[in-house]
Amino acid sequence: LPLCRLSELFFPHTTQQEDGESQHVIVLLVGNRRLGVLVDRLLGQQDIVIKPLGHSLAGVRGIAGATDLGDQKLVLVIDAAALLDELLTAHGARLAAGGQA
Amino acid sequence: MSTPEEAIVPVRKPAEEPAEDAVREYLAFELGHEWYALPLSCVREIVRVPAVTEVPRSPESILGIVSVRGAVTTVIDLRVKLRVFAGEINARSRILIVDGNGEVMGVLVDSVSQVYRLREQEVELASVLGSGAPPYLVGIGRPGAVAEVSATPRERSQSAGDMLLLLDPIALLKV
Repeated sequence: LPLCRLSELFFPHTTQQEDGESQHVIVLLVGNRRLGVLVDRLLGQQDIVIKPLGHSLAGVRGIAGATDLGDQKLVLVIDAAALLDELLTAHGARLAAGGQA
Repeated sequence: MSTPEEAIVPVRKPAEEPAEDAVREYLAFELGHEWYALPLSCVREIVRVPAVTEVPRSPESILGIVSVRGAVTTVIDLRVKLRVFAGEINARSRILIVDGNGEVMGVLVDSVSQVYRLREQEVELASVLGSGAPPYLVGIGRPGAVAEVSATPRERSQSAGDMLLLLDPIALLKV
């Protein structure tokens, strides 16, 4: 199973925390492709309505939108298919290399 | 596409004003100890700063997203665009909800002061300031002898009073 550390992918310039003992891996399955995503903590499960980001953020890859969980703070929603495309295909790798500014 | 000139809409003439005197309303705000102003017509709302969610991989000039009345709203960090050092977010910080280029966006400012009504002769256009003026700068407003809307003497002493950097919302919100 290919593994990816979400914090490295999204915040490459910040110093990464040491792996705690209780890290979790979320396994994404899109079609027949699988990707393990390392996260710090699991918070819960909920049905949500995804709201799109504005035009100004249209170029941001890997984020499908945001959702309001009711406590006024928006939570970003990962675009699983885009994440798999980016990390598991050559096309995605080229995008990642060229797109990181 | 509307030009910046067309974007500055309200040309409301008070009854006692001479007819040839075009008056435009601007909302003044503070950012990094400078006073800026946006055309009042493009400001939909002024809100207190809710929790801002940072968006990874977004341009540097974007602070993050917030929820304003249920709408996901992108917030611009003017400190990057205007190259100023602004204060930390505090009780006086506000987000201006601004109608820009087809997208309603938030603009984080240090504080909001008041509405100024500027006559034409109180505005020095950026075109006469020279070619070095950045595209988002419309001109410099110098509210002077003309009476201000909703200004108490205390408010007047708080604001710069003598100089406002007038901004073009469309150029400003371009990411």
